[in-house]
Amino acid sequence: MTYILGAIFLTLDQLLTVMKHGVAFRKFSRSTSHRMLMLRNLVTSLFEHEQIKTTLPKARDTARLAEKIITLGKKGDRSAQARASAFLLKPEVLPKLFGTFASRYAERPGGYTRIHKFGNRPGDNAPVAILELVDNHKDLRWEITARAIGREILQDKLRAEKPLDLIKTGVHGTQNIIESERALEYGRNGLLRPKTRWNMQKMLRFRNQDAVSQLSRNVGNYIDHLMATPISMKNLHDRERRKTVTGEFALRAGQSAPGDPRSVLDLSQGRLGIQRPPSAGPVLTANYIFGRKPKKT
Amino acid sequence: MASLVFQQSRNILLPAFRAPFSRPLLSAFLPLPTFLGGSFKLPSLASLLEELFPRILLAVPKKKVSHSRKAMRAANKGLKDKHNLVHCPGCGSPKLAHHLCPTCYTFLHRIWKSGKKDTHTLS
Repeated sequence: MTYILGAIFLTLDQLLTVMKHGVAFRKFSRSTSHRMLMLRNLVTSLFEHEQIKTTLPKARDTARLAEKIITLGKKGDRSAQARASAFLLKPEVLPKLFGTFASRYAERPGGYTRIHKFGNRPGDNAPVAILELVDNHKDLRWEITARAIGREILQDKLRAEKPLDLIKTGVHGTQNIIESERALEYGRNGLLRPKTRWNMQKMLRFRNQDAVSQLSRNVGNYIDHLMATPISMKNLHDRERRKTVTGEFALRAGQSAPGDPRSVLDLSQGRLGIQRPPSAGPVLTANYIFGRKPKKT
Repeated sequence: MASLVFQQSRNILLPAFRAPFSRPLLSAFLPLPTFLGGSFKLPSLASLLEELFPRILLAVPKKKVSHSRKAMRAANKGLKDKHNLVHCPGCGSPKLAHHLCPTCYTFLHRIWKSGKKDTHTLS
């Protein structure tokens, strides 16, 4: 009469090793028509804004469809126009598709979109991603690669010169560095980190001639920004009229200033983690430049 | 015939006097037409009790679980540390591996919203 169900307990590892055999596509808990309209909306928004934030599975499906529509845009004939205008939900996006995107991606054989993972959404803990069209004017990889190149060039310069001298003279010759790094083969050692160099080479591959000068301008701007930060922090500190420059202000837990070789996990644990001394070389912080230097034991 | 019928009816009307407790009290056979399934047996008291109060539900904790034992059971339920943390190559702040740096993104997004073209000009 009575049935006692045996409880089945799965650990998180066991739940995460689920397979995908025989599953063709994502359904998104929607009917076919709803799903198709949702994806068409997402693709139309992507073409309109060239960078959108959505959940990761939706971004993956949207990327697949968007690249197919861009292929139609590259074809450009009457049937492609008919099919694209039937798919997209805003007519103002069509001239962009057949004009801007077709010329931008003329040389590129596919891969017109890029997905950046961006943590989890607070409301429902859904994994979120930023989906963008490659080489758009707000290209995220371009910006972050420029920042990475700037920081690495600055770290290299800090090994040779004092921070205050570097701030006074400035950092020049970024264009030469970028051009020489661009010509380096894969696997060879240079000034930049291998990952940064690879990203830079990818960014510059399908762009036009003035991309290198544009990148060097961005890199120079960011190096100025980095060098100005301890100065502005010192001015802020002076304005508040504190007696001594104490602590590493303007750095978050786990953040490292240019020149510091310690890892995130060591820094973020603070006093509870392993106490490693900072590098012997100069570090670009207000404390190092203006404060009392630590005694060498 | 009539005495048989009377005896059966007496069984139904005065079950307490006729049947001992061990025997099911309501074991009356009601004749039903065959298309409804033939005879229908009413549920006995013991089986009814088994349905309402199954034996597993009669189990009960003997003592309040002590604070110490409760805490020991909760030892594995703590939050796990994240180890996939790296430095952002752009700004040096901590970020999840293979994810965008939120510091860098916030900085850039604010500039784009304000409408400036160059993202790192010192104004």
